Amino acid sequence: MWFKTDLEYIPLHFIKDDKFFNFTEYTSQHLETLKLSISRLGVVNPIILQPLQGMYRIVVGFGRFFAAKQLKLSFIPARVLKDDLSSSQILKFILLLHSRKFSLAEKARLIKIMNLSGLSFKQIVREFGSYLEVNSQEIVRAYLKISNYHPGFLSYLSTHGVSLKHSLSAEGLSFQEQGFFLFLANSLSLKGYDLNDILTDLREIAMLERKKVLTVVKDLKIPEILEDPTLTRSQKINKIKKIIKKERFPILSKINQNLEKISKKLKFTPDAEVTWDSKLEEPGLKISFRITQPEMAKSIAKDLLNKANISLINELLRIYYEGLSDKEDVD
Amino acid sequence: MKDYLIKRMWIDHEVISHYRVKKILQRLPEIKEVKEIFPERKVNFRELSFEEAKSTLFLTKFPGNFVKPCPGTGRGYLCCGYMVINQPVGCPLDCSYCILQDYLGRSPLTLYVNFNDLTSQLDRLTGVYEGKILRIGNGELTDSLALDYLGDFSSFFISYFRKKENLIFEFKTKTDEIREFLKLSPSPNIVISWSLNPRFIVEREEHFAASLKRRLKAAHLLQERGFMLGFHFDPIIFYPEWEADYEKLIDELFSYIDPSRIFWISLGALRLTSSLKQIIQHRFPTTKIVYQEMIRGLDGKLRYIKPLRIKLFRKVYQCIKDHAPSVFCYLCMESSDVWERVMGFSPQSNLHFRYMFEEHCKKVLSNS
Repeated sequence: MWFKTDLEYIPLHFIKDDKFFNFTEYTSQHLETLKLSISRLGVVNPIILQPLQGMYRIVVGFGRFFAAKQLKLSFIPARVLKDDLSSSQILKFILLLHSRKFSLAEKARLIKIMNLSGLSFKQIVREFGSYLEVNSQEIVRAYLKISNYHPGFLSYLSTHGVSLKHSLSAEGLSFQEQGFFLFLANSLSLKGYDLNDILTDLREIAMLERKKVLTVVKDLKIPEILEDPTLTRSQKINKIKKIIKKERFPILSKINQNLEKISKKLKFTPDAEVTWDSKLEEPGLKISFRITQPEMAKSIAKDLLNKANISLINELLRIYYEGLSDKEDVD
Repeated sequence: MKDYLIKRMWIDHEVISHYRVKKILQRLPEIKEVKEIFPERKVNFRELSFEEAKSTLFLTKFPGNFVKPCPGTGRGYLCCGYMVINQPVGCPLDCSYCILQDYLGRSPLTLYVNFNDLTSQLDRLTGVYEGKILRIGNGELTDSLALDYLGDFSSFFISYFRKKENLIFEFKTKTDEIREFLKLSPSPNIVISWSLNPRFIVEREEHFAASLKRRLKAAHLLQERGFMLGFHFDPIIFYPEWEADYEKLIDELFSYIDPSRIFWISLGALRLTSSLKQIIQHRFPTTKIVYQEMIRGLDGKLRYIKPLRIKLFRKVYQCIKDHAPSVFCYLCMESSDVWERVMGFSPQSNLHFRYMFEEHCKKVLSNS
C-alpha cells in the first residue's frame, strides 16, 4: 500500500540532506549511541525514503542516515515510498510508525510540516487531530506559533514540562530574547514553571515600562547575578525571582518589607514569631510563641499589654490591610 | 441603538419548525447566513473566533436545568446565595474583562426556545421556595437585555415572576434596550440593574455597551415608570484617575436616580482567572487592566491586593453613602475582613449573608 520497493540498499549520495520531515530531536549522545550500534551491527532498521526529483528525501530515519554518513558508509538499507503518495498520506504513515507519545516540540514541528505541506488547519484537525491530541484549529494555530520559536528554546520548554498554554507566554519574543531565556534556563537549570514565571513577569514589566525585555533584564542586573561566583544556583534563582517580583509588584513588596521590619521590633519573652501571607490574602497576621514553662504564658500576657507592642501590632494590621501611605511609599 | 449585530444564525434541526424560531427569523430578515445544525454530528464551536461567536445566534433547546445556584467563588470569600437562569447564554457585548470569554469560550450566542421547560423548572423551584425570599436573575451568562429584542425575555420573566411575590427577579445589563419594559407595568419584585463604570473604562473596555449616559437615562426612564433598580459597581477597576472618576460617576448616578427606588448596589473589584488574563492579553493587547498588582486569591482567581481593594471599596462605598445613606450595599465575592474594613461589619457566613439579604428584600417588598 505504501511502498514502491522492497528492501533496497541505496547509495548515501542519492539521498538529499533534507530535513523537511524531521520532527524528532537528536542529541549528540543519541547520535553517538547510534553510531556505535551501526558500527557493530550495521543499520538494522531500514530507513524510509520518498522519491523526489530523481533523488530521495528522508521520511523516517534521520538519526540512522546521519550516523551512517558520519561512519562514511556508502549504502544504507531503505524502503522507498510510492511516487504518488500525497503529503497527507506520508504524514499519516510517519505518525503510524511513531510509537512514543509526542512531545510538545515534536507536535509543533509536525504541525509545521503539515502546514508547509499545504494542509489546512481544518484538515490537520480532522485527519491528524487524534494522533496529536489536537481538537481545534486554535490549538493548531498555537502549535504553529511555537514551532517558529528558537529551536533550542522550544526544546527546553518541551523537555521541561511546559504546557502549550504556558509556552505561548514567549510568543512575540525575538530570537535574541529567546536566546537569553535559554541561556538563563540552562545556566540555572530552571524548572519549566520557574522559567515561565520569570519570563511572564519580565514581559509584563517591559510592557508596563514600555521597554524591551532585554533592557529590563539589564536594568535589573540579572546578568551580573548570573555571573556572581559567590552565589549558589538556588541563591541566584531566589535573588532573580525576588528582584523581578519587587519590580513587578512594588507595592506588595514594600508592604512585606515594612511588615518584616516592624515585626522585628516586637518585644516578647519568649520571642514572638510573626507570620503572614505574603500575598496579604489570608485574614490577619499570626503571632506565635514557643512555650516550655507555665510562667512564659504570664510573661506573654504581660507583653501583649505592653503599650509599645500594642502600637506595633496596630501598625502591622494597618499596613497589612491598608498598605502604606503615600509618604511611606516614597520612603 | 445597538452597536452589535447578529450576522449569522444556526438553527438546531430539532427546533427548526418551532414557532419561536420562526418569530426570530422574522425579526432578523437581513440575515443571509442561516444554517441548519445537527448537534448530534458534533458541532465544533471552537472553530469560531470570538468575534464570529458574538455575532452568531444559535437557536436550540436546552435539555438540562436552566436554573442553578450562582457558582459564586471558592473558600475565603462570601457569596450571597443568588440563583441564575441560564437563558440566553452568551453576550454580544465585548467587554475586555468579561469572564464569559473564559467560561463560554467561543460558543455562539445561544437562545433556547424551550421556554415551556423553563417554566416548569421555575414552577418546581417556586414550590420549594414557597414563602421564602429568593433572588434570581439571568444576567450571569449574558447581558439580560442585549438579546431581548429577539427572545422576549423581559415579557416572559416579568409576566412569570409578577405572580411570585417572594421571588425577586433581576435583569442585569450594560445596554439601554428597555423598549419592552416601557410596554410593561412594573412589579416590586422585578429589578433592572445596570453595571456601571466611569467613562474612561466604558469607552476603553466595554465594547458595544451603551455609553454611561445612555445607561443612566434608561435607568431614569424605568424609575419614572415605577420599576425598582439595582446597580453594580463590578468590576471596579484601578487606574491612575480612578478616585476622581468613581466619585464623578456616583455623583452622576444620583443626579439621575432617586435612591429610594434602588433595591441594591453591589461592589466588586476586578477578578480574573489566569486563562482569562491570557485571553485579554491576546484579544485586547492595548489594555492595561491586567497589569496591575494582582495576586492569586484563595479561590485561585487573580485579584488586586487586599489593601488596594479596601481602598477602592471604601471610596466607592463612601461616595454612595454620601448620596444615599440607607441604600443596601454589598460586596460581591469578598472576604469577611474586607467587609469589616469597608462596611464596619461582616456577615458571619454565606448563610448569614443570605439572611441579611432576605431581610432587606422583605423590608423593601413590604414597603412597596
